[in-house]
Amino acid sequence: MEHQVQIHQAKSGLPLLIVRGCATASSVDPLAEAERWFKLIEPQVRDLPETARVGVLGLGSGYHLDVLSREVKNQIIAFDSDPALAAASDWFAHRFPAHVSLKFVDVEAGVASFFSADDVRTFISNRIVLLRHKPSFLRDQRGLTTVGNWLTGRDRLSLNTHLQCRAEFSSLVDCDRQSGEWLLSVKDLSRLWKVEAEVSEQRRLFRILEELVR
Amino acid sequence: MRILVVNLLRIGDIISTLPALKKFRLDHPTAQIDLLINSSFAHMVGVIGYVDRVLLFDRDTIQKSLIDADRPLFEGYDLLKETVDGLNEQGYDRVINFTHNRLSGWLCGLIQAGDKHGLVFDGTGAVSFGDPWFRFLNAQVDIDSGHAINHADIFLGAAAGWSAEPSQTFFDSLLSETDRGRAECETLLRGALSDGPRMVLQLSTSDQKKEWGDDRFKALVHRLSGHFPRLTVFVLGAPNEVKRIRMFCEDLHATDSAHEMAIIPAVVSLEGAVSLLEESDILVTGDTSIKHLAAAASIPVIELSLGSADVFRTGSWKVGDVIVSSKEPCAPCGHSELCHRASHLCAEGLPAELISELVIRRMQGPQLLAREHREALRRFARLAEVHVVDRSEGPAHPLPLFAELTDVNLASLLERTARCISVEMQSGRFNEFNFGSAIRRAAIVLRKQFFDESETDLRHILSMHERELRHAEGLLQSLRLQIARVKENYQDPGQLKDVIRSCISTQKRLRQSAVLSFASEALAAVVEDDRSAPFTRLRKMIDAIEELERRQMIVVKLCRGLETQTFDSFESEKFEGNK
Repeated sequence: MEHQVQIHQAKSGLPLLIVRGCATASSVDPLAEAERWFKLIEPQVRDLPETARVGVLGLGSGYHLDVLSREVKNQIIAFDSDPALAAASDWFAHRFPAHVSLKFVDVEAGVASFFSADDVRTFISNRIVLLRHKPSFLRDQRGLTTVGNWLTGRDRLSLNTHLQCRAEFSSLVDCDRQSGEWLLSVKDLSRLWKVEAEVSEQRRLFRILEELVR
Repeated sequence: MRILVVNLLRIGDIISTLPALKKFRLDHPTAQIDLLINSSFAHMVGVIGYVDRVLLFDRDTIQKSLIDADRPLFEGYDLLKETVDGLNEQGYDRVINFTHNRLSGWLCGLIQAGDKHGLVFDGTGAVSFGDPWFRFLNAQVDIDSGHAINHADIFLGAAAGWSAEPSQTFFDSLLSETDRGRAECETLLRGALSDGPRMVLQLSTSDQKKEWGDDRFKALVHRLSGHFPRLTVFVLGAPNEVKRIRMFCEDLHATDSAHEMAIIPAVVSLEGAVSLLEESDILVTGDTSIKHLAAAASIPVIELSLGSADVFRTGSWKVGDVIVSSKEPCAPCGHSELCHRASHLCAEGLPAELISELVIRRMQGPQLLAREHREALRRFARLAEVHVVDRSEGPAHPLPLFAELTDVNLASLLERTARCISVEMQSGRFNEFNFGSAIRRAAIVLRKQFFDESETDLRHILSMHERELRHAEGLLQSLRLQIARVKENYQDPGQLKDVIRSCISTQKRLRQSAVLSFASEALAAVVEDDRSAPFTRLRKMIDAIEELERRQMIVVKLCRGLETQTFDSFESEKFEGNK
């Protein structure tokens, strides 16, 4: 392992990763911290349909993924953008059940590169829930925020990809109408529909969403 | 048959749907009836009867996912699509939308069903109502409050119509009790005095403008303790109101009169409130969800209608309930408006003395419209408007306790009746043969409202009214002829302008008569519409005039029929109520 990543022992006895001197989980009891994290996000993952996918931003020391994968049987992808953790990927090897996969993202390669991967395109073509592992953001705020923005589809470039991955939308929305790199809201999206899309089920569903944010 | 009823508004609106739900159940005993409500009101599920399932629309979760920039843009869309797909899997035959807002209109447009009632938008955004009562609800936004029909009755009208003789017991105890509610109530009842009356007070409202004030409630209790020596007072509230309720009860305990009373804080769930209301003798409340619950229960209600509360549209709708409101010119104020007065004048205008008199008299029985009560309460006439809910005509009609026989008051009463009959005619449920019973019921209401007037005076004013209507008939006829001539050339802006000028002129002439001013409201809407295309505008004018002519024909028939009635046969002692 690179010298940037070290393994320490928490007070509870469990091992945890230290990246560039920064703990990736609680140095007291990382498992208890993971349980508390799950309690907070539990409403978002309760009663998910089988086809929904769960994305987690931040690998931490993996304890939150242990808890999440125990409670949620949907496909889970954990994203991280820290090159140091990518280099220490062995530490996570064979740790999680089959429905959990890890994705190391090179944010410097750009959004097009991110969305060129099949697993990412498959991920966003379904209903997704996106969860944030806060301790990871303390370690790599910029990288994980960038990946988060791409996955939420709230900027023009990533919205284009999201729409392309959803077959029912690709012919209905014209992303080129939106100029600039602003983050999009549902109201912004209302300007991008093509004329022929007005009577579509998708457009009518979005009209309901527009009423909810009015 | 599978029926979906949609009501995505608040507790009071859901309760207002109960009479219609009961009617659906009676008419379709074997149908699967589901009710869709917002998930934030899931705690109401236990008290709603007549349906097989209560389904929850997770509005809050969908809304949060849209607003939070950290959530995927499509998360809300996916949640919503799952909801709609889930509803479509049920295979509903009929969808009825009691919500009447754009969100529900779009939602109901996406639910597949052969038959849809209520506000529904199709794919192109075209609106349909499915029943004239829902169209009336849409139009009622612009109607003067005194002519408005209670929402609960509009929904029931859409479910069943109002042409048949109404059953007074239909509205008895529409809520279901639960074991949990019963248990909470029994805990409270242990503190009650066994041989005295039980009164429930609801101090707080969702909007401070609607509050009467804790000091006035305390003054009320002081006065009542002198009249009812063994009074039990339950002070209702939600968990976040515990401190206020405790302070209120402690202040009352500290007074001299308290030793003969039981004053009990009642912080209970909605289910507990339902059970407590059924076990108590009277409720005094502002315009709150508790008021709506009580309207659907058997407990008599004294409603303090303050701020933006609307006596006619959303007031209590149970026979014998009393609605008190201020005579301040600014009441009722707008829903979102801040009060611009130096002090809360509409609350100050309702003295505790008046409310205590109403409580005492209402607890003697439902006949508050009887002569003895009206004469005893007449000294308060300059301070407040007091209405007593009556259902002689079918829909709830808050009858003013102190109304004088004037042409305007008569016109208002007849206009209200005519609007109901007009909607029933459009729905095909009212024809010529129904006029006899409509006139008879209107005569009962006329006598109840103007109990002190002689038959001669009543007949005289009715005949004057008919004369005024004949004048309006001529005006509307000439306007209609002018529009008929323009129909072929509606694209000509000059001709359209001429028609609008004629509408404005007719409107002004109608406004000159206090009796005919209601007609000018309908014309105002079409005159002020400068956004619709010329053909649409012309169509709206024709529709408005047809509606006015229909109502006018109805009022003329009512006047003629009423002139032949013998009013003295309807005595005030025959007025019935629930308790």
